[in-house]
Amino acid sequence: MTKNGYIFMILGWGIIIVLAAFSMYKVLRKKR
Amino acid sequence: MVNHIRDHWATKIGLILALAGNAIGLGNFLRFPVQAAQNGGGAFMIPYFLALVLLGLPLMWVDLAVGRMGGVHGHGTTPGMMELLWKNRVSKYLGVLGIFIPLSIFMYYCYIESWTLAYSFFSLTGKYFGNTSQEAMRQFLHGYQGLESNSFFSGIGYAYLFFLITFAINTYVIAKGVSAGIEKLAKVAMPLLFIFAIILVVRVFMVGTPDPAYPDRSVWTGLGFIWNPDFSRLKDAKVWLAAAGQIFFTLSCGWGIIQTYASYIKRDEDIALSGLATVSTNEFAEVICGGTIAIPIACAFFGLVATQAIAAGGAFNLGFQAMPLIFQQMPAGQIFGAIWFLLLFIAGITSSVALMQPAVAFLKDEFGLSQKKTVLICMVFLFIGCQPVIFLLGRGFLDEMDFWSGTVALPLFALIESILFAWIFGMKKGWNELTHAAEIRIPIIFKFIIKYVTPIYLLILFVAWIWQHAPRVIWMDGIEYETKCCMWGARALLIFIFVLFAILVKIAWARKKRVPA
Repeated sequence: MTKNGYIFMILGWGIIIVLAAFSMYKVLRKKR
Repeated sequence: MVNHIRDHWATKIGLILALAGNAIGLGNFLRFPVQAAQNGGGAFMIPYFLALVLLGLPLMWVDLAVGRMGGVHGHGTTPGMMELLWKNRVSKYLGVLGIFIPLSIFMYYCYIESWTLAYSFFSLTGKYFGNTSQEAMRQFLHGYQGLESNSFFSGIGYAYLFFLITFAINTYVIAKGVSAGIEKLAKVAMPLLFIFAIILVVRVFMVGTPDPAYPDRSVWTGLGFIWNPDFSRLKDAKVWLAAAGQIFFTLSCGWGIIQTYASYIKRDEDIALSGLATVSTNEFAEVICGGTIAIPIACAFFGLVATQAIAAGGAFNLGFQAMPLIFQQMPAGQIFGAIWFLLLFIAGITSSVALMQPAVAFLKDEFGLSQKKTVLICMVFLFIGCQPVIFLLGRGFLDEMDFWSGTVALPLFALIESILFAWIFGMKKGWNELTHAAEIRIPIIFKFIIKYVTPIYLLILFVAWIWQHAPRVIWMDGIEYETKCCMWGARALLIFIFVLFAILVKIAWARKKRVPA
């Protein structure tokens, strides 16, 4: 895996994890 | 006409899990890694994320807004919803596509879904173990499908049995209704799906380099195959089309399903946050889980060149022929094989129940039929519709249905809906509908995106797909006579389904005129 590959993977995973965590946090916070 | 009280989602998390369950299907774990690998690896992710923002997310919000508005007016399906968007006698017939598409897709999706359940059973019992070549696994699959009689299977019996089991499970869930059936299934199935996916992701990373004699054959080479960017591919229009197509399929937007699910949301409940949560949950399953399981492990066991050939062979090649070979070489492979195919089955069933729901909702809402009667009618109709798909599989029946409902009708309906919403209903009213009771602030730029960018994206997709497939599928170039007859049979079935529902819409609207609500 190249350096650019790592960058793309970390970026892709990072965007999705942040988005999923943010939206689920909002949903579950409201639920409580 | 019997007036019935419409069901509602019991909890917000239940709604999101059901919407995510609809979106997360076989494509997340099989289609996405193949598409990414075939279209420039990491560079594919640029048009992919762009399409997510410009096409997927806006369409998800439009579907949810249209659906919630329809539900408030007592319509659980798109004929009634399209009429709310456009007060014209034609609009309700355009909305028939939103019942036709999921119903016709169910007729073949349910059968494919049953293969995953069967393979989970075969993995656990070790039925395909001992066949260590791809050719042997191809024979195993073809024998199972009844395409050939061989040493593995002498007929279609096993395939039919697993189809019956799958169909029965779908019927049971649908018969229970929205909150007690679909929502309960999603609450159990979705956490299970993520547990299975994470177990497999961890197992893939533990594989590392299975054979030290071949240091190139490693999980990292596989991840590199998916993520190493080949920027030269960005000049290729096909890569952009493939990325937009993947987003369109993975989120199941513009099919008529999300609108039906959203019709069970109360007027003062949020849809903006629900849409974002659904999209991000789907992407987690697709990019993080789907992108880390099949291709990287195939690279670790077969090497890069062989994996490229497998990926070129398509998603089923990867899922049903290559993966079983890997499980045979893995310690506790029977268990991991069962988990992999059960993961696919869970992904499939949460999508297939969603495919059924629009037809059920239509008969209940527009004809006031009871749940029991509606489910019975739909099941008999679908059961009959599934038979030619099963018995004429080798004659292109499934592919023909997939082309007309998946490649032609889908983008066409999404395009119609986005134009009606943004241009005829009007973006001002549409925006108010979308942001009503919203728990997050949708950036104002999406007003522009929904009005201009999303319809253009869909128009390009629609025209390009027709252009790509026209010579082979529409004109049936180079296809033998018997297969042509079966393909015409599939077309006749699809026309019948569309006309039948168009007539039902006409009857339902005529009844409403006679008996005002």
